[in-house]
Amino acid sequence: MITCPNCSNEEPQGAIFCTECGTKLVDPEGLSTATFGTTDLKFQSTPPPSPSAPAPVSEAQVNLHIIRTGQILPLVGREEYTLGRISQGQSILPDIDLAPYDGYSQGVSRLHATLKLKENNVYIEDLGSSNGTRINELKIDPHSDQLVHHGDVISLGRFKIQALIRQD
Amino acid sequence: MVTGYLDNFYARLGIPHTATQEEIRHAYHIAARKFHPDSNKENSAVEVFLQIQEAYDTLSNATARAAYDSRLPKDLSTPKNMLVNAIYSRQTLTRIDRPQLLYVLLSIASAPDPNHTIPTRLPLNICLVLDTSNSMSGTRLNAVKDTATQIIHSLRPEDILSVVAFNDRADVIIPATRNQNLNMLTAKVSTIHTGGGTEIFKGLETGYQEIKKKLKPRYKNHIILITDGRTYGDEDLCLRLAHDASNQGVTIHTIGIGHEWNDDFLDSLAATTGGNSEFAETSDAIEKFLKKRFGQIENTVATNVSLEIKTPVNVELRYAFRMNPETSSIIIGDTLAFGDLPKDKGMNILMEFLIKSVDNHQEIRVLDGTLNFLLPSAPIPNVSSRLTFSRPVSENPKPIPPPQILVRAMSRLSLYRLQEMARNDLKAGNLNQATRRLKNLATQLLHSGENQLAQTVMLELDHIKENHDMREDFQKQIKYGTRALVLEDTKEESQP
Repeated sequence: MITCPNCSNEEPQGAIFCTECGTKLVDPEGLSTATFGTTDLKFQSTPPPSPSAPAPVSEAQVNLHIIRTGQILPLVGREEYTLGRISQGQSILPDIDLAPYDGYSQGVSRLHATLKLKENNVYIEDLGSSNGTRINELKIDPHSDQLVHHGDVISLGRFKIQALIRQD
Repeated sequence: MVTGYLDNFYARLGIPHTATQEEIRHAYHIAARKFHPDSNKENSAVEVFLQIQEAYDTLSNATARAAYDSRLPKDLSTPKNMLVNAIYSRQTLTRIDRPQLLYVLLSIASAPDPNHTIPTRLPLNICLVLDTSNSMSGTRLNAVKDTATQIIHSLRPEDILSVVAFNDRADVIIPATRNQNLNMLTAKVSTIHTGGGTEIFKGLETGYQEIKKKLKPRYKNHIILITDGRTYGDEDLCLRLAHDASNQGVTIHTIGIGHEWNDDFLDSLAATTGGNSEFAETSDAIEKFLKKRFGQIENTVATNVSLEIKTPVNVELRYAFRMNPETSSIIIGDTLAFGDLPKDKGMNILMEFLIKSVDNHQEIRVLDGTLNFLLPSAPIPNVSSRLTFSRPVSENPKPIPPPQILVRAMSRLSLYRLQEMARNDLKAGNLNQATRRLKNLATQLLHSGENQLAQTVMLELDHIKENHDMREDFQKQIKYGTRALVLEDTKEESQP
């Protein structure tokens, strides 16, 4: 089952649009790199729940809360997302481009880390970034998967993201 | 991005399985030129081009071709001179015990005809069935008569145009014959006057008799019904006639004027035969629609395209919609009527399959079908070929986003479907459900910049709250308004 992020209606696997509210249920950009500009975030104006909020009952769903700006990036449709920033002349592009959020001055590498959704858990792997990745201020080893919990604050260099995870 | 290989590489290039390397190369050059992004600016061209490229890469390599051939079902044939293409929403189905959805975008295009060997100017056999009930009097009937007169003067000697006028009875104003005196025809049209009620079946039946007098697969056989009213009690008879007409190769189109007519009925009547229905809100639109209809009938290469389908018990074809050349819902049955294929333009059909269970199968044959059409220019006009859709099943497939061409198509369709479902909710008495869907529709319309249509929906929401029903005029505006949004690039096309 796929749960619509907008109206919580349940659709069978393989659905592309919610039949209730018409929300697109797949990654809008297909396989290409997604750049989340502020205009894409109109529907996400609600304040993020506090880290201590109880996780709602649903299949695993991840939203990234960018702490500096208060914006929320919903992650829908895939198992892995690379985080980084796009700069000129780069051959491999990250799935989520943090350049528009001032990622460069905050010390985000071009390919900084990978967020993985597997078996209802969320992991992060540092891709050997220059400034390292921290979970709740504890530095993690590069190239190994680290479990991420709901409410954890992930720092890519100085760039802070809070993971908002809904699990079963 | 190419995901999901086609049902058939040969069909992509429009060549038979026995094609030689020379023929493959030749077909590829022609097809690639037609869809190359440099020369073809249609959005879907890139994806089609990549698929043609993929087909060529495999078929031009002897080893790859042999491997590909060994995987093809033996009985699969390729329609000659046709490019047939299926794009799937998913590469594999998942082995789960719950139902899952699969979308398929079927596109059919005539093979390129650089030497113009396929004539499109084939004789017309068209019957205009005109409602002459009291409500048609004045500007409505005048607009119809004026347009009919203009059309008469564009006829060639080999064309056949018959005209039937009906109210509670039907009269043949112009019988179906060739080589008519055009001035005489014009004079006859001018004698049409109004009176009485609307009994559509009488008009249709009389018109169908006229068409049948000259019915030939080499002709383009069409009935165009123009009405502004409701018919009572004979809807089923009309639909049965439409069904028979469709089997005989006759297509029915409808034009509804004003707000009183029954849009569900006229849509079904046209869709049963693969024809089109139009909503002419004012009499000004009559001329536009009628001329457009004639233009399109003249520009077809293949007519009566239809797909006979068989699906296994665990698969249900839930929905089908023609995205191009004209938008229309397709009636689900043993045979799906797709209508006419215009020259130099493709036809796209979006289908939604519900796969109820996959059990232990390694592969699900979602659809087993026969694609039929008439090529009026061919020595033997009836052409048919096999068409199958199938998908492998895997335990834990990597989630790959669906092809963009499919997502874009569904995105354009989603608003029409929302209003369609809201109307079904209303019919079933689910007022709350309908209201919720219409609210969502208004939100989505605002989001996509369709402020006027969003406004119409919101006004109607207020009305529903008080009266628990939709008004006919609003219902039609919303339905045909969202239907117009389905057509690809309408905005870009209107620019030079």
